[in-house]
Amino acid sequence: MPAEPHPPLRPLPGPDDIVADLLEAAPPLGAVFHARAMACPGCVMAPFETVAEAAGAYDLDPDELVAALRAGVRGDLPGGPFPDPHPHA
Amino acid sequence: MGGVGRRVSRGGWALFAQGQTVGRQIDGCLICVKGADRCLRECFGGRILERLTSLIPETPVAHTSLKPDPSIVRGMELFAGLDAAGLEDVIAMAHTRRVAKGEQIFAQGQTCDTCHALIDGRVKIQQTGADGGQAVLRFIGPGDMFGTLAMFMQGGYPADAVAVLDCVEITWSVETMNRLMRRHPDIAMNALRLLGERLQEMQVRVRELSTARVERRVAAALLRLTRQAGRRVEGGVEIDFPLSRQDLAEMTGTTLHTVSRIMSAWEEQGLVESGRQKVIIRKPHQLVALAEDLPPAPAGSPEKPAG
Repeated sequence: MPAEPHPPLRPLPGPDDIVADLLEAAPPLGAVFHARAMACPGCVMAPFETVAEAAGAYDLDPDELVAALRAGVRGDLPGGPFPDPHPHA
Repeated sequence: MGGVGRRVSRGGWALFAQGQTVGRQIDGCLICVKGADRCLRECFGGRILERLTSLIPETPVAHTSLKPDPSIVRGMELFAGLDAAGLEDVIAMAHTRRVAKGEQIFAQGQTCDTCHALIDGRVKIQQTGADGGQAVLRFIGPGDMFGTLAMFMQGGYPADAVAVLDCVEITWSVETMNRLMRRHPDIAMNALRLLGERLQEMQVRVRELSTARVERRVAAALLRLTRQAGRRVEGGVEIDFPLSRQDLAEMTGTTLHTVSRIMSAWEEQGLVESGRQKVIIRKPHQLVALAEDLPPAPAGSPEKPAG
């Protein structure tokens, strides 16, 4: 079943957004992180890290992550089951 | 100057909006006890307050009888769910006072006659054993209650409470708090929930002490403190209050020597930076991995996820 679109965030997610702020504003975006095996949702460090920094810690492309978050805001969210979180650098 | 936050005006707390000028007309305000950027951020603990950039000149003024606006207790877990009239009631029976850094607020074993809530500053709760050994049980931050749950226990306060920064607190006598709980059962229910949370936290710490190696315990303690008082700084996350290695040792059931050895090793690895009573976490993810005993990341890049 397609995910319900989340009310659009204004402005759209960007690389400098704090991860916890983003997840608080749009909790369904947690799926975007989970799908990439990122442990950000619920992480104690999420309030202190930007999207770009989180991507860097997992050696992911920040632009790709931002694009996926923006798609998620439009309702294009990945479905589970999700992989276990990866160890990060 | 402007920002999102609250300032303390004569006789009460008021919200000020983003962009609103924060001027010097606040002479006589509690907030003047410190630079306001830190004070406001600590006062209300919210991330939005970290965006405040303005500084209010330091003008120490003693106030001991202010009746704060009910909004000051709205965010406190003990009073969650209370309506405006309930909050008014809570505030009407409260007393506000400043506590100087280093001052003992109550002592272990002292009869529990007062319930406390911190508005600003930081308080260390520490317990001393019969042999003189000390354990730091927790640090209290703005918005937290302390010495309140002791009213349900026998034998007085179970630990000392010492201000590690200049503080502002509000207090209620135990009789008053009992009256408030009878009048507003939500407060009693919230107190039960808080007791449960504290018990759960203590169980986690007992488990850590029993099973986790000391390096992991120190990492977990730093994470707990980060959750409570972390502040994003250039190149890391700072624990935003004075924290000594001795404090860390007393929080994790080990010796100063061991904590020093661990912190020095972590500094060499660039994981943390610690100065006199200051800790900055430079590699937050590695600290999380240590605390949670996750396997180290593979050399090179972590495996790319399928998603």
